Amino acid sequence: MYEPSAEGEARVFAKYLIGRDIDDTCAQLYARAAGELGSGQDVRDRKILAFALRHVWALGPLDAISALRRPKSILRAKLLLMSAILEARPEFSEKFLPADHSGMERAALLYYAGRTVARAIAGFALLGVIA
Amino acid sequence: MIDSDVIVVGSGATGSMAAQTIIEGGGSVLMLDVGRTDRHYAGLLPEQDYLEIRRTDPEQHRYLLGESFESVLASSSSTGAQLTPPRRHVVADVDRFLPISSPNFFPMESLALGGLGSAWGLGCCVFSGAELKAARLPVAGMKAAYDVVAARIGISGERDDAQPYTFSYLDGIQPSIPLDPTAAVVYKNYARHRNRMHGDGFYMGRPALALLTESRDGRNATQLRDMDFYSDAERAAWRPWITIETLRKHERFQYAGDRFVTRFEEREGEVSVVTLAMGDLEERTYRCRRLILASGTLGTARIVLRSQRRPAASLPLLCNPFAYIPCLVPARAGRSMPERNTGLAQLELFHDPGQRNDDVAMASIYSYRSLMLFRLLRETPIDLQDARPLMRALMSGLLIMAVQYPESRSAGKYLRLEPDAATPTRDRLHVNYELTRDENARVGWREKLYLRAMRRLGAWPLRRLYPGHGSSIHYAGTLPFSDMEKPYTLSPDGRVWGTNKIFVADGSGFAYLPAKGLTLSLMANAHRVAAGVLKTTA
Ligand SMILES: Cc1cc2nc3c(=O)[nH]c(=O)nc-3n(C[C@H](O)[C@H](O)[C@H](O)COP(=O)(O)OP(=O)(O)OC[C@H]3O[C@@H](n4cnc5c(N)ncnc54)[C@H](O)[C@@H]3O)c2cc1C
Repeated sequence: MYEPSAEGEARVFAKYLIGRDIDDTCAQLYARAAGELGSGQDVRDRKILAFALRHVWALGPLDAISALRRPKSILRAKLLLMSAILEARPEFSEKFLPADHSGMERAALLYYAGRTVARAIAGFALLGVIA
Repeated sequence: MIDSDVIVVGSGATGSMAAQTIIEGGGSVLMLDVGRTDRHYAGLLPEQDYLEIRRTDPEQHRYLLGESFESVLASSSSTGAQLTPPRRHVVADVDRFLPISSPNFFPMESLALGGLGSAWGLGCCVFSGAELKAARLPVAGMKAAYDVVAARIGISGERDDAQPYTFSYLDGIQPSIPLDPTAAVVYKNYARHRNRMHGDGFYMGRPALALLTESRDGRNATQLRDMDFYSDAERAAWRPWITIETLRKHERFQYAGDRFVTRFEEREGEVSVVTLAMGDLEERTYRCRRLILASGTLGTARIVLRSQRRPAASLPLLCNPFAYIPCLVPARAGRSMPERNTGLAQLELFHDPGQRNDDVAMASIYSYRSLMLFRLLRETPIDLQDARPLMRALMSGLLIMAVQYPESRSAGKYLRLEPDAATPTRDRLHVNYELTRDENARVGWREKLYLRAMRRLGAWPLRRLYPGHGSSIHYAGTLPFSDMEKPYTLSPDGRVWGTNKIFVADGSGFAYLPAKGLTLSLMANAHRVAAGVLKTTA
């Protein structure tokens, strides 16, 4: 069974969130922050996290359904933490700062909006499987 | 032996103004204060613009997220969650020394040097004559006091439709900060629909801020670095510690920090003030001829309740009902933002249906500039991979409207002190805060009008967020001014009825709480009370 270290977890989450590899400093920062966060109390939430880390393809759907149904879950908390850390890295900050959007970029927003709905539906089904 | 003519408890907006008045009037002051400061973050903050920092500083996570990532890990609904790490010292030690139990009231209090004023949003408003009367404050005395305080702190603003509600008749107002492009869209629409807006009782304009746009008194004009929520390095923003720092150079002023005042006792022409050391709780008593309590409305209530050995009392409480309404200006979504500006309020929208300036609601409108995206992502009910590009695009079109409603006394809003052996003071404040059905209905009615007004101005309300009662951080009315000698009230000059030498300079006496930011009025009242105390010592 794939049980990544906190730094491995950071790399999986960063790839998912912004599609980029991160350096050791960034991974270590996450590891330290995740230590502050703890591993969560709720058994079901921990199962969801473990499943998402084992099957990286499921991360999007499980994130989407957790956002709706389990916003305080450990998966959401860890993803938000990673997102905040990436945001506070100068090499990635532009991905989080407002910028003039081209026509293509505006069109892509519609795609993201559609994708999140599809993910939430898939995530709903996955939750049943994990339970 | 007397330690000082006058003891002032608290170094917040009111304590600092009261002390300055006494010192300038020739008196001497010992300030007793807890005085928590930020010893860590200020040293980490580079003197750069927010955007420059974001693009270049590899250490930014330390002060943007916090050394223990406290900004991300704190629940968004916890007290002080909106404070950035360099401001979190404002709530240090509060849970331990100012414990509260309440099913429905979640205030923010402070034991910092400068109190809540170390984090305040600088919004200044003058109460109208009608509002002052309803608060039982003397109109002429307060008008003169507003002038004094405005000259001390420095205010910027603009002569526009909001002026009667913001700086009103005050002189010496510096030019306003520049208008952010997202707020500018809304302001332009307001100009276009001005008559209809006025017909509906709405008046919009630039805020009056205790922020210098022109340098003076050793303080710099704002450089628009957008670091207002993190740093005071420029000293453009007036914060109480700036006044305290100046007072500390004066030989008639002494500052005793790390002292937590528990109670007072008046005996044979003297006042004893009992304090605890914050660390080992060692008790020490100070003596003075006059005591001025400026420990914040809730802090003062605790001290007075503990000191007045009367039957357990419930005191009334005023706090402006409050809501956040994020709004989207679609025309500005997916756009870059100017490099320089400020995250402080951009516009104020007042609702004055009777057009008499006596029952006014107030909305402060902020652009979402120098706060990080993760705060928005946390509230977004979609997956974070998609939320990031979506919210990033929306961010530049986002306005956050913070609406406050005027507040009168009613039966469901009260506090009392209850025994609790586990706390350093062996008690805990119990607060209940419930609006009556009529009050709720009136707030709901006004909220709907605000939503409609914003739509007309081209800003779509996205949702309504109610952070809970107490979150307006505007508290008053626990010891209301009274012309009659009654327990747990203040005489018109701020004296605690039943005492000769104990005065209150914070918001405890206000018998009505207008929705307009109260702090300028708190400071004016503190000056007025202190000026009266000076006369009695002379
Ligand atoms: C984020 C934020 C934004 C705000 N924005 C605005 C705004 O734009 N406009 C506006 O009008 N208002 C605003 N406010 C509210 C404003 O900050 C307060 O109204 C004002 O600072 C209250 O001042 P005060 O002196 O009455 O009390 P406090 O600021 O509470 O000061 C109390 C002082 O007393 C000391 N103290 C308390 N108890 C004791 C004790 N037992 N012993 C010794 N010392 C004690 C504390 O250390 C502190 O120094 C804002 C507040 C916050 C937090």
